[in-house]
Amino acid sequence: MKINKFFLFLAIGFIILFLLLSNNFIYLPVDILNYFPAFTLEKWIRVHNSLLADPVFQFEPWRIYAKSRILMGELPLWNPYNGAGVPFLANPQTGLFYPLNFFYYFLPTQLALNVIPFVKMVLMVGFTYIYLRVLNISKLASVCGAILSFFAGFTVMWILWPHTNVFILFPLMLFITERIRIGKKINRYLLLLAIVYFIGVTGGHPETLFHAGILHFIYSIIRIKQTRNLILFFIFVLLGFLLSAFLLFPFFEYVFHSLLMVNRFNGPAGYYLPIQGIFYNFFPLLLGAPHLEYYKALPDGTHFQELAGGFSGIFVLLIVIFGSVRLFKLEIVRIYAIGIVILLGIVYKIFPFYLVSDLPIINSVANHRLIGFVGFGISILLAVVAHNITGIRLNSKVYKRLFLALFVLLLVSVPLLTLSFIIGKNLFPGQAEKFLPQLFKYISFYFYSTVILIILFLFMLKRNMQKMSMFVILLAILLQNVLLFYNYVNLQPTTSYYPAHELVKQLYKIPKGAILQVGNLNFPPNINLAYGFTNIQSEDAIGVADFQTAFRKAFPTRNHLGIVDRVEINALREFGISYVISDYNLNSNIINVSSGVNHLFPITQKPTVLDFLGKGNTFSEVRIFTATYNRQNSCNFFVSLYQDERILFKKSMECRDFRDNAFYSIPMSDVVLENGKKYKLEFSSTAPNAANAIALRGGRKPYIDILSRKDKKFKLLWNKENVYLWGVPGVEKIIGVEKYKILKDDPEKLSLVTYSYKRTSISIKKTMYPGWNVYVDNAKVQTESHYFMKLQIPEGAHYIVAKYEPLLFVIGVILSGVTFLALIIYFARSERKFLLKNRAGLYRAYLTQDKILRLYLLGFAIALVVFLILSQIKIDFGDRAFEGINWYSENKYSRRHDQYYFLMATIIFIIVPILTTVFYIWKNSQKKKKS
Amino acid sequence: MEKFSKKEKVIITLIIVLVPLLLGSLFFITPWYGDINVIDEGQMGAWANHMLHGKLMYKDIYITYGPFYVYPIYVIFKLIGPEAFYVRLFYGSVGTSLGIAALLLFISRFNLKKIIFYPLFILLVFIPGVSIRQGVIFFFLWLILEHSNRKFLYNFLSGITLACCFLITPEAGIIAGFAVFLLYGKKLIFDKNLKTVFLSLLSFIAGLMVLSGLFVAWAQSEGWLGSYISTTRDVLQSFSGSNLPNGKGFPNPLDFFVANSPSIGWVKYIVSKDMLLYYQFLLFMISFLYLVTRKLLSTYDKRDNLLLLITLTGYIHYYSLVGRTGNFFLALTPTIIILAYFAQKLLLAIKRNGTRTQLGLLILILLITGRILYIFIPSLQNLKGLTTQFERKQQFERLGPVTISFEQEVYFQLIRNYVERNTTRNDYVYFLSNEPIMYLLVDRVNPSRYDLPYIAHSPEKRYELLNALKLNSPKLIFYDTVSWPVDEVSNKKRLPEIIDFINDYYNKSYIGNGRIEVYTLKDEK
Repeated sequence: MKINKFFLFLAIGFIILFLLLSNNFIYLPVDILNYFPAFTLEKWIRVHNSLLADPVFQFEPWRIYAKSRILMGELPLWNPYNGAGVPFLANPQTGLFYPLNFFYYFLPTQLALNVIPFVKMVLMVGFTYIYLRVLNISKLASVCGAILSFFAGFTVMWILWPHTNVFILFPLMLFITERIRIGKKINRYLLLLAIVYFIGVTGGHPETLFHAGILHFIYSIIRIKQTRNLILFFIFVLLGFLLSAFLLFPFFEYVFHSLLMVNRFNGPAGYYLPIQGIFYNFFPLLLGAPHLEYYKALPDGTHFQELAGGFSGIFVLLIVIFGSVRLFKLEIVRIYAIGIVILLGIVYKIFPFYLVSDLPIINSVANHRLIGFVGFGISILLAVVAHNITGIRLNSKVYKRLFLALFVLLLVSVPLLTLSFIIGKNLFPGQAEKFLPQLFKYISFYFYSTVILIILFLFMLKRNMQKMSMFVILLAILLQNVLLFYNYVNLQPTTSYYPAHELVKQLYKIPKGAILQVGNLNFPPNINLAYGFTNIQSEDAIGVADFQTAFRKAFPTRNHLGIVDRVEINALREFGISYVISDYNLNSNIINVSSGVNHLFPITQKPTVLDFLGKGNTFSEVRIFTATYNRQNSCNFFVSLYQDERILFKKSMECRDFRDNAFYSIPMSDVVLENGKKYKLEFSSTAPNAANAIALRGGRKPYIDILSRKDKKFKLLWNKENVYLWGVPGVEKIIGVEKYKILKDDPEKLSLVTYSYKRTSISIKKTMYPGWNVYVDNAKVQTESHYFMKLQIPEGAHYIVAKYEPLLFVIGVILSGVTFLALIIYFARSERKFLLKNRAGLYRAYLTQDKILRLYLLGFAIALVVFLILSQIKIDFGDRAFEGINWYSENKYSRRHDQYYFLMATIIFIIVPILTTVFYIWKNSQKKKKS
Repeated sequence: MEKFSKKEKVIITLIIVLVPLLLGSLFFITPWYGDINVIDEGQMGAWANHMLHGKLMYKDIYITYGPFYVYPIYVIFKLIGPEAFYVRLFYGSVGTSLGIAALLLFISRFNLKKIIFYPLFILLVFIPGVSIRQGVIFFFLWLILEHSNRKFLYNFLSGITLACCFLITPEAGIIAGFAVFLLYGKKLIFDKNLKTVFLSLLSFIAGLMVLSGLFVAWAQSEGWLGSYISTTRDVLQSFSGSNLPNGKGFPNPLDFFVANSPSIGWVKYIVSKDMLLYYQFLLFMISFLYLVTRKLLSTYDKRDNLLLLITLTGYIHYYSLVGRTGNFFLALTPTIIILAYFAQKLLLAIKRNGTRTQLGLLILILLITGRILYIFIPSLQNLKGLTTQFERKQQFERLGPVTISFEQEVYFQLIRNYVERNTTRNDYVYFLSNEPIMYLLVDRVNPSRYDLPYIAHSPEKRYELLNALKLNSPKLIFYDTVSWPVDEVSNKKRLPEIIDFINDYYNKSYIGNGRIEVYTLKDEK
């Protein structure tokens, strides 16, 4: 009892400390924003991990948007701030209904950002633990497996992605299967099964759910022997999906109207990892890592996070391989060992396993992510092996030989490692100078820790010290997993959370309008949600097909970052784009001299030269594409223009002003380039070698654009260094009418009044998507097939309303509701005996009439206090509800506030008195027990 | 309930019939005397009158109730003739009598002692809040509680009644639907014989579908089904959010206590009508907790189902008070019934071996009841003028045998004369202040769907109204400058586009010593 209390206080203390510290840091890699020149105009900060973009660029802005809507008492079905409007609820990655995201909606943001990954970790460990326990694995062995399940590469690296929202449910699914196999209180687990699949859908990563579901099905077919239970299993999985119909129906609708559908189902079959990257599962840091100082992706572009998903530590792997061979007779070992081999075959496209991924549907999902399940499988095998450790003991002679071999290996390793380090340093000067120490540090640590752990483990094994050997395993997990990945996501100061830099401040000053980024990554789609701006583009992995196709057609020129690189004013107007953020002067003609970006040209004292022919154009600016090796260099950088060795222009800049992977347009004094004459651009710096220099990216030659002045069509609103903010003149939200007035522009509803002298076709700059209905003078009208809302209206004044009324969502809600009721009734019916059990004797022992009265009075008093405290929390319900002119709009009073307080009061004034009474009974029963 | 003698039954029946017919409630006026409520009675009269002119429900008229609530008055007008008296008689007297009868049917299951029943009965008869809209809910609740375990015919009848509830008013349908949900939910979980439950559920659904089907066929054949669905949806949406046409913030006692230092004012506020709303809420919570306790202590019996349903009904009605405290009376009937139920419990307990606490609680109940009654003191004063007013005779067409004040009579006469002089029966006339009764009294048709202009406060409705006015060009538009601005927001403020339109296309003049603004089409002059 005392120990329990001690742990309780410890836990409370830890939570308080966590809460206090949570004010100062956030578990969100917002430092990645420093990749954008617009974010680093004032100060450059090195990005800790270059791969953690999505959580900051997409998931967090979506949650910000969802939170803002939910706290206004609204359901965000639609996101009007991106891509001229995109489905929001239908986009699963928003995880709108994922239970853990409710922390985000109702807790302070900083706190929620820290709490959610922590809870995810606890859940993954907890679910794996209970799964292992139901397999009759000992507690300590289960702890080993459970901890590894989280720290095996996949979960820890994808913790901020919705993939792990679903992935952490996988052990719970397996646990349920085991409980169904056992057959006791099966109804409870069947209900839980449906709920788990429902949560899986809310998790926001259908692919991971698909993978988990398939593996779970196979596992269940193998494990559940009773046909009836197996049938019930499938029925309840189906019910779980039906429960989430309100999410699935809109999602499928979105997919069927998306480019994803076109790309996935018409593209090349299957997604695999390159076989040469398999070593990442054993030695993940050999080529560096994104969270370390040096990192290089594989030549085909497959990055670290994908490749190292199956990593579980070399020591653990050795134990598991060895143990699995010895314990292959156990069914659970066979299932996992064979499963892992098959999964590896699929992931790395090994014949004949990969043929599975040629099957329909399976060929359209990212099967390479199955690597995460390999890591999980290894965790389970580890626990099974650790539990059966006596079964893998060796002959005493073998121990002796092994100890000797390891000792020799240790001795030989010291000179070998030192020698290879020296050779490496001499063979790869320059860039490798920084990488080699990192590499050798890693190899040494990994090698020595493995050998020492093996020695320790063998020692324990030999002495039959079962528990101690498990502590060695835990130590191995700590050394070879936790230590390698603990800082994969770095904590960031709270102040760095979507900072309002100079560009943002400028955007706040001007009237709201759609933004487009051109050239550099300065303000990518979706982060606009964090600032309350509108971006004409959307990045959500699905995308509305008609709009995206039209957009690509209107802005066909993209750079290698996939960003629009050239714009025409008519296309901007067509898409209702009011502002452009670019890296160059839009009032220029731009001619590409040399393209390509895959090679680096370090700019040192030795000049890099590019010859080109004049075409009679004016040379106003030169646009280059720079690399800084993700560091700040302290040299001076020079650009010179020559004609026949005669210098026409020379400009000097500081290297530290350049950013990695960014375009720079360097203004020159206007030089007219004579037609057919040879010119030479020369780039040089004061840096003696590449170690402290910037580089130009290019193909065979450095990437160069030449800009020359043209008509001033665009209005320059703001500029600093290579970040320009342009205003697009003549942009209208509605095209085709003489006059219009927008009355209300809400996410799911637009109302406006138009006036035209004749019958006309109007175009409303909102994405046309199933579920949007347009009413003219309260009569529903047909819209023309177009990516924007386009309709015919008669002459005169008209009241037009466009409403998002997704039919499939409504059908889904009904189906989900019916399923929910069916599940509740089924469950309650199965628990009838429990519910009908007469417990009056228990309650009567403690409760007299007067006592109840007093307890309820006390309960009401507490409830009143609780209510008064909670009512002090100010919730902004906004004024969006004020459509009409009534008492509320006149007094700016939100009825939702009253409704919210009313419902809150109802809950509090019922629950608190009941809890008070329950507490009283519990306390007295405890006393009675003691006495 | 204790058994009543035949004599008692006759007296009760007579009271149920005669009090609403002759005296009315303490709040409302009698069918024979009292100014016409130009809004509530007015809209019913206007709608029926428009229908006499060939307008269709919902399609041409924005109706906030169900068709079964409105259509009977149209039938009465059609059969007997259009008079404001019939509106009052039907909704005020017949409706109240039927409502009280249904309510008595429901509370008969409470097994109340006469000492409790009679005061409760008198309160229910005199205190407003029971109309046909509430009556149908209580009838339905009685039906499903009394007969759901019986033959399938009763379940079939319950299904029909549920459809009827919804077609009388959507709120009644929602409350009744909720009760059905609870009842069948309980049966599906706890009944041993699922087959019987499914069969009764099926017969219930069959009943529901039969009436719904007939209704759909009728509405579709007349061409207003779609409009009914969209209007009902709009009513439910707008009245449940912040876009309701009429409503105000819920009184917040903290504002009062913060703004005023402790004084006798605090005590007054504690017993004020505002605080009564909070006591009402607490009563519902206490009732829930009481039921939970009964369940835990295994003393829950069938009568507690009644208490549960009445509490839920009261709670749902009370929810509508959040923003519309004027609907206080809707939740008052359940409140009084719950108070009576608890009073009886306490009385019996005190009789047996009462404690001081129980006595205290009983006194508290009496005090709260007294406070409720106190609200109606001003209404009682109206009765003083009853006899003198009866002596005055008037002959006002379409008013019927109802005596109204001289002031109201003059007002009606003034407008009627003006309309008759300047328009024909086929001309449109629009009343911009909220007085739809005028359409009935002057027998003219509204050019739009909105007889109560304040309901057209939202942009889409404003523009719909604007387009209707543009299209139909009413010959005259009236605006009573002293009419009641709903929630202190006048229609001129609510309908800016309409005002702009009128100013652009109409000339303004005054009648009634400047009280009434009359707008005539510019090109008419």
